[in-house]
Amino acid sequence: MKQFIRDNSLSLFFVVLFLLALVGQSVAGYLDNNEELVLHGQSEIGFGDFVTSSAFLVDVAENWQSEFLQFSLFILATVWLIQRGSPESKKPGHEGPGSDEDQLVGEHAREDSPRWARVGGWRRQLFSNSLLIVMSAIFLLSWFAQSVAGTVVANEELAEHGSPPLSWLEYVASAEFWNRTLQNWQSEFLAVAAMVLFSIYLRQRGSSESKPVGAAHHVSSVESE
Amino acid sequence: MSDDESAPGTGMRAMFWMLMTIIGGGLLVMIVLPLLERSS
Repeated sequence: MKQFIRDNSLSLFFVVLFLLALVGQSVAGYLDNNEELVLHGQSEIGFGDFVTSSAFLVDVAENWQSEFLQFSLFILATVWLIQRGSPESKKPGHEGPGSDEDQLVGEHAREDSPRWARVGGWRRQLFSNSLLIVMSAIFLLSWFAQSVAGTVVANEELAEHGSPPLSWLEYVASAEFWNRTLQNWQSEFLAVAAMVLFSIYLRQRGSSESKPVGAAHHVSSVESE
Repeated sequence: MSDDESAPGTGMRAMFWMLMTIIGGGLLVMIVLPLLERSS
């Protein structure tokens, strides 16, 4: 058990933080939602009703989609784009998907390579892109969830004001949907740009996200190894 | 065999699938519940 925790402390730390933050969000959102309801002269709802409501789910979904978009783009962009000196980037000159030899696939696979890296055809193609495929799929599904839950929330508000409801397509083209979407995207893109650029000149001793403290600014961590 | 050469245990694989299940379940809930609410 001790060995398991030590081998997986990074994943465990973030999974636990995720669950705690989600519970925190649901409690704070529940209290906030009831305050709003009381202000509008409506009766409070139960916790179960709140966490299954579109109002809660749209907030969760819109944050999920932006995070998974961020990582999907980062995974894809780092195949082709380079930042000299950043440990987040490959070395200049190594742009592209790499040779089969570099990637240890097909005849270059090792004994302990995953089976789908050793075989050819669609299985190798799928496995070669599986990280991007899964992260992008989660992004697209979360974004779709945001749009569906957002439609419900927007229509509840419209109904309160006696206005006719929006269709899903009308909501996806609405300013509200894009406001919710882009306010999340801008922060993700800023954070990635900051991480890539700051890591050229700044260090965190001991972090896998940083170059060694004494590495030159122009050297990426790959080059310094 | 050194630590980083040892094969990942079944626990790591279980954790991988646990997180995939949490995400998959979360996505399902976030899509299905609003659709149900919408149609009601």
